[in-house]
Amino acid sequence: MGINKRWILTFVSVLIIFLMLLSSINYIVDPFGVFGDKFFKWDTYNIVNNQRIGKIDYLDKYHNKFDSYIIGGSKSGAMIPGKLEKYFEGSKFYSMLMYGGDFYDYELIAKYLIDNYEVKNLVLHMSVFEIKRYGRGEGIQNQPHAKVTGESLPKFYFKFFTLNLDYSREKVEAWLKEDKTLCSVIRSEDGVFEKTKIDKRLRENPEEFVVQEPSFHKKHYNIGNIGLYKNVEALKEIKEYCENHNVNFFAIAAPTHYLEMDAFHREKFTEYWREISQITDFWDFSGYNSISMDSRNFYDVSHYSNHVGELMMARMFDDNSIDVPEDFGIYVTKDNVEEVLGEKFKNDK
Amino acid sequence: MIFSSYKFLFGFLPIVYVIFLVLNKSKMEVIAKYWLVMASFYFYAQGSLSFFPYFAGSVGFNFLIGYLIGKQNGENSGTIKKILLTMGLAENIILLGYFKYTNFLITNYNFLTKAQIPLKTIMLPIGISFFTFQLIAYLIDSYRGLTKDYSFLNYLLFITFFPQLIVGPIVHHSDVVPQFEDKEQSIFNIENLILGICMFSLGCSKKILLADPLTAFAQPYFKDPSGGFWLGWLSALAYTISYYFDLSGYGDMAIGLGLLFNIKLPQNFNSPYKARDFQEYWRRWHITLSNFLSKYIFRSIFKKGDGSRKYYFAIMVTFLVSGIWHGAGWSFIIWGLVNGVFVCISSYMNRKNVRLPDALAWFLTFVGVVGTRIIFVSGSISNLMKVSKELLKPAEITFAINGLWSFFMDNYYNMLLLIIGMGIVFFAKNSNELMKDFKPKLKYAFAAGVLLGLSIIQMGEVTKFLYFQF
Repeated sequence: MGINKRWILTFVSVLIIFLMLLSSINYIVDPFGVFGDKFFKWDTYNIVNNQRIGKIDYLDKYHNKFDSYIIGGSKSGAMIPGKLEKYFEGSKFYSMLMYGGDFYDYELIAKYLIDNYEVKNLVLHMSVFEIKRYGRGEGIQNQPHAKVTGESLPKFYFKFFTLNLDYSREKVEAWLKEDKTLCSVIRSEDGVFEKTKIDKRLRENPEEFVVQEPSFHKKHYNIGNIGLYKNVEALKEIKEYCENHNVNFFAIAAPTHYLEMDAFHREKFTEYWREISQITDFWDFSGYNSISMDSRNFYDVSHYSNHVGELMMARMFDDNSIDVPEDFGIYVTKDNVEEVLGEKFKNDK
Repeated sequence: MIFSSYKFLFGFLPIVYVIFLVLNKSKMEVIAKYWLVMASFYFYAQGSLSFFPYFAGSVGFNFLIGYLIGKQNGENSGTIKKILLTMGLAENIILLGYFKYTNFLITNYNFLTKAQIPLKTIMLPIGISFFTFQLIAYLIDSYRGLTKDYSFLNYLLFITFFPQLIVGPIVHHSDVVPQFEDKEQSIFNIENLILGICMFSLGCSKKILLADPLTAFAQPYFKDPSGGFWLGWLSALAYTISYYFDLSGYGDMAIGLGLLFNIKLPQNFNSPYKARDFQEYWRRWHITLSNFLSKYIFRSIFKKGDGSRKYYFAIMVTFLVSGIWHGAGWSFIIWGLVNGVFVCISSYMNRKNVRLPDALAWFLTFVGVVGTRIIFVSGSISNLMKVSKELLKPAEITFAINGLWSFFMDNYYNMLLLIIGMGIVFFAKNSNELMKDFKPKLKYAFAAGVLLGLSIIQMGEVTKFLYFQF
């Protein structure tokens, strides 16, 4: 063999060794859990890294433990599955909360869950913020699982075999750290946020908490409405899919901090509510009420507290053991939507 | 699509290359060339799909103008040629001007007249600054009668050849068209393949292993200039070094890719940070741009026998054009003019035989390079003022000495990268020197494999994930 051929062979061999090394590290460390995370067995980390992928991989292993699901964005983290089970007797809930979710994700996930697992109840938690967008989020942290989108699985796995090694390095570094709080903010076993620390801070000194949270002290600019109609269409799809598969569908609109509410475009919000009410009845906790006007009920402008989540459940299921403010929460139908909207924005007139 | 991506390395390149080789092996050389043109158009469309029709139209229009200019030999040919040339130049300048400078002009107009014309949503098409200059050079040389025999196919390859299409080098038609015309171009050449692999691996590692992390380190400071004296100067130095590795790395990859197709693209960087004055620096930095500006701007103002005033004037105009070419903003114009002043000073000193000791001359030149890089990366005049104020705060300097150790501990990795980078730019041979008299030794195969392998494992996107602080 001539020197030139040996040269090429050497080059290619070295390159293949590096590629194998890269793939092996990505497979072993598995920073997103797509290969089953056989060595670290750290579902929590994988889910924090990407909820859309991590939770699907988790449920593929453990879906027999659940028969009901909450689908929503990060706000839905206050709908604690354990608490909800009290009102959906005999059901076992799992939260599919994901950062920055909109109806693009909700529809894909809902269909995947119904097609692949046993689903009795599906609680759709609408954050209202979805009105701002529709579609696939940017970056690997927001990428949906190929099993859910129906995209090519080899292409999907190739991407994770050839991930930048920084992801693996970060997981190993996190693994070696004694304090794993930061990378365990979502619990794998029920899918919601681990809020023990923040709840303690909020409970012990709510006034100081409010002073220290920066989002309560700045103006929030107009929230766009480019996703309005696509989101509504997707909602219709989800509802029909549930009905066709005998799944109990239950929709909730989240509480909104008054500063967030101020940022919504009034006319588009109104239109959005009318459209939704034509598709499904839903529990509406948004708008200006005694909960939304008090920052102590929120972790920040975008996220209401677990305590508020409990109040919502009590209102929805007539639980008299918990005191719920009269003005908090109303059941919206196509018949009363105008009345609800009129009440919601009465001070604008 | 960029060269240092999986999509390019494991998808586009192997497919294009293998089919190119097969077509040539099957004696279908013309089809092989068309294949290369189509692949290059596809490559371009991947990065700038919405601009693609303009790009393809402009390429065709410029050939037509060049062709018509070449055909003029009648009575009024001089006038017609001038009209055609003006039309061609206008088309290129209008296209570049619209896409690159519209918002800059609107901003300035609004500022001066207090008008409130809204800015336009214009995406800058990739590579427009580069191929526009190539087209302008082609037109001017057509006017000068230097491009008469070029076929449409070879012309198309000259403009669209993907290795040089989006980040240069700014190829002159006389550099490459004769190579495309040469029958040898279609014959598989394993020496060129090996050399090309080496150049590509070297360039890729410069970009991924040095330029990208140094840029990522330096960028935040120039977006929000705070963090103290040491961070400021370290960021300025890191940006200076990363810019070289980024551009020269991309240039090396382009040269390497060109060699795979038996095309020798011109060298674009020749150890610029070893220069001992600014005139020499600009002969070593972005050489193909300097050549273009020298040939088509400087020489159209300054002619042999003109006085020194005109000489310095020509330098200033050339660097003003260079500044405008580099970006749409006053900071780029200032950057160009400051470079022009530095070149005038070094030119004056050379003419008067004023010679500083080598070490001092080199040091002053490098300080000037860092200074002009700060202007370049600051992005706007207001930010430049902020950056300068931060970097030169006397209180910060006093405080800085005390905080040196903790700063070192916080930034040791980036400092290490910077030291390696500086070691390479100041003391090592550059890519072209390394490849001179290249022999395909196995240790080079190993080195190229390691460099490309290390680059590949750092190639995927990295986005930091956000934790909700619960």
